[in-house]
Amino acid sequence: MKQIWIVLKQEYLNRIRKRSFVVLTLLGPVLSLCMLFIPVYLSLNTNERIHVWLQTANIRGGNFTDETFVFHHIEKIDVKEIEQEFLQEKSEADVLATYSIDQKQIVLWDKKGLSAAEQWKLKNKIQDIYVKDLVATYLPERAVAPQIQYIPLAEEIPHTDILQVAGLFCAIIIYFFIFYYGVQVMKGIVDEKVNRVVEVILCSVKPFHWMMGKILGIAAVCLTQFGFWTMIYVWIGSKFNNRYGEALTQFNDKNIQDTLHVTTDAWQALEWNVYAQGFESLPLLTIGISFFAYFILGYLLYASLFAAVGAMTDNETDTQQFTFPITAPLFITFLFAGLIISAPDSQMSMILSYFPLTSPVAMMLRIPFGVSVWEIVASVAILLTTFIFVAYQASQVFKRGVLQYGKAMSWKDVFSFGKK
Amino acid sequence: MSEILRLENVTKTFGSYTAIDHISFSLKKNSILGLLGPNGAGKTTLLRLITQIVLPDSGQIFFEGNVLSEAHRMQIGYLPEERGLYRKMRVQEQLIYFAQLRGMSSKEAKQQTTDWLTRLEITFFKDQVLETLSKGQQQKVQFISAVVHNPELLILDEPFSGFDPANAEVIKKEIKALHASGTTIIYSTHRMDTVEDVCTELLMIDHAKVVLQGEPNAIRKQFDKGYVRLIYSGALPTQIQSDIIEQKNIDATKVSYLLAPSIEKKQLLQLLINQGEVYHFEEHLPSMHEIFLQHVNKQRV
Repeated sequence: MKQIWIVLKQEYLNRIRKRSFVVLTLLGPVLSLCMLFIPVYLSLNTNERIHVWLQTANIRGGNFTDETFVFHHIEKIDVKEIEQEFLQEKSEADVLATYSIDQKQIVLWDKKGLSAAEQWKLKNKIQDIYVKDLVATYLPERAVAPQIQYIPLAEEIPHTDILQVAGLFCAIIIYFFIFYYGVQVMKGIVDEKVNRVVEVILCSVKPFHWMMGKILGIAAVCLTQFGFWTMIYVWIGSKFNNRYGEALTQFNDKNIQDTLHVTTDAWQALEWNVYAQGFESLPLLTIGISFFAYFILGYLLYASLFAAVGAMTDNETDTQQFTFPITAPLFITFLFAGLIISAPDSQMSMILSYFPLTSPVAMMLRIPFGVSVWEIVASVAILLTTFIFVAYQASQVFKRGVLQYGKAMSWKDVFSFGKK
Repeated sequence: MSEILRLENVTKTFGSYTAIDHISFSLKKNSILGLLGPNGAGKTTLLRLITQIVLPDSGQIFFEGNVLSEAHRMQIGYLPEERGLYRKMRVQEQLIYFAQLRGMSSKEAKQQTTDWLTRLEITFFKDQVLETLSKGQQQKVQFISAVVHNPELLILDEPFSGFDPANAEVIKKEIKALHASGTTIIYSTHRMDTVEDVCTELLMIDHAKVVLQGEPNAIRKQFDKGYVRLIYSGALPTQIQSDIIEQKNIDATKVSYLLAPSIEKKQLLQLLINQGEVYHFEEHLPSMHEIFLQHVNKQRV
C-alpha cells in the first residue's frame, strides 16, 4: 500500500507541474463556459422577431415595433373572425392581442410558446400601447390600465430544456475526464516502456501496485482539475448572484412581476429567474452524488482497460488499434444521447444505463428527469463489480505485457494471458 | 561464509521457448559472481528471476535461507541492461523516488542520494532534468539508482556498457568498494578482462543451462592444457619445433612462443637455456576469454 502511495504521489506531482496541466486547468472553464453560453447568447440575439397582431379598431395605430416584437395592426372588429384567421396555419403571427373596451381586458393568444421573459416584456409593452392610445383617443379618466389575460396555445413542457442541459453537461464532463485521463494512463505506461524505466520500477514494486498507483495518481490530478473548475464555476455563480440575486428574489413575487417596468436588468433577471427556478427543480443531491460515483468508477474502469492496453503495446502508434474498441461504448452512448434525453424511460435508455461501459454517461443523461435511487444503486453496483473484475484481469495482462519490448501483443496473446 | 542466494531447479518458459532450464547454484555472502554466456543464453531472464520481475514456472529461489519473497525486494539492487530513467525528471528527484520505492524514508533517501551524487562527482547536475546530461553522466545516475538503498545483493546487467574507459574505471572502483563493505554482487558482462579482475565466482550459462561454474582460477586450471608461454632468442631446438601453438616476433632477436610441450617442463627449460637465451618462461593458464570462446565455438560446432 505504501508503494501505491509513493507511485501515486510521484505521478501526481509530475503531472500537475506540467505546462499542459496548467493550460488545460485555466482554459477548461473558459472553454466550457463558452460552449454553454455562446448558443444561449446567439439564441438571445436572434434576428427572428416575434410577430404580434394588434386589434386596433378602437385605438389609433402607431409604430411600436422594436428589436423583439413586430406589431401588425388588424383593423377588424369581429374578434371571432380575427381569432380564426390567426389560428390558420399560414398566418405568420405568433401572438394575437384583442381588446375589449367594455371589460377593460386584453387577451393575448400565444401560438409560439413565448419564454416567461418574453411574455412579461410583451405584457408590459401592450399595456403601454393601449394606455397611451386610450389616453389619446378618449378622456384621460377612462384610460385605466386594462387587465391582461394570457392564453398559451403551444404545448408547455416545464423546464425540459434545463433537464436536458443538466444531463448533457454532466455526461460531457464525465466523458471528457474518462477519455482524456484514461488515455493519459495509457500514454504514461507506454512512455515508461519506451524509456525502459519500467524494469527499474518493477524490481521494486509489484506490477499491480504500480498500475494502481499510476491510475490513482492520475485520478488525483483529474480531481484537482475538476475541483479547480468547480471553484471557478462557484465563483462565477456567486458573482452572478451578487449581480442578479436580489432582482431574482423580487421576481418571485407575482405583483412585482406584473408591476415592474421593463428595464434591461429586470428583463435579464426574469430570464435568469426562469432558469434558476428550473435549476432548483433538479434533483441536485442525487445528481451530485451520482455524478461523483459515476465519475470515479467510470474513470477507474476505463483507466484499467487503458492501462492493460498501454502494457500490451510499446509505442503510441500501436495504441490506436486498441483505443477505438475500448472507447466505442462511450462514443456510441453519445450517439444515442438524443434518444435517451427524449425518452429517458425507454428500454434502450434503461439497458444503456445499467451496462457498465455505458452507464456513466447514459445514467447521467437520465437522472435529471428523475430516476429512482434503487436504479442508481443497482447500476453503480454493477459498475463497481465490473471495475474490480476488470482491474484484476487488467493487472494479469499488465504483468505479462509490460516487459515485452519490440513486439506488440496480439488479441490472442491478450486472451491467453487473461486465462493464465 | 554463509549463503545469500540459492537456486534449486529453477525453470522459466515463455510460451514454447525455455529461457531458463533447471538451473541450480548457490552464492556465498560477499562474493562477486560473474555471469557469462553468449547472447540469448538466458542471463537477463536469470537476473529478472532473482529480482522477482518475473516468477519461475518451477523450482525455488532462496534468499538468506528463506524462500524469496516480496519483502526481499528492498534488499536487492538492480541495474538492468536496458537502461531506463525518466528523461524529463530532475536527477535527484528521481533518485529519491527510486530510493523511497525501495523502502527508504524521504529524509534517508535525500541523504543517500546526496552522498552518492557527491561520490560519483555529479552533484552539480542534481537539479537538472536528466535529458540535459551526457550519456556517461546518465549512466552514473542509473548506477546510483541501483545502489542508493544499500542493498545486500546488487545485480548488475552489463554495468560497463555505455561508459568510456575512464568512467568504467570509476564504476569498477565503486563495485570493489561496495564489495569491500560487504555487498554481494552478481554481474553479467561480455568484458572478460573485468571478470578475471573483479569476480570471485563465475557462472557460465548457455542455451538456458549452467555449463560452467566455480572460482575463476579453478576454472582456468580445469581448462589447463599444460601450455608454456616463452620469450626466447636463438634457434629453437628441433625436437620442440612441432610443439608451437603460436609465435610472434617481439623485435629483431626475441620471439614470443606459446608451446604445448611434449617433454617435461624442467627438461624443456634446460634444453632452451643450453641453446639460446630465455627472457620469459611461465605456465600458461587459458584466459576466461579463451575459455568462453572455446566453449561457444564448441557449441556452434
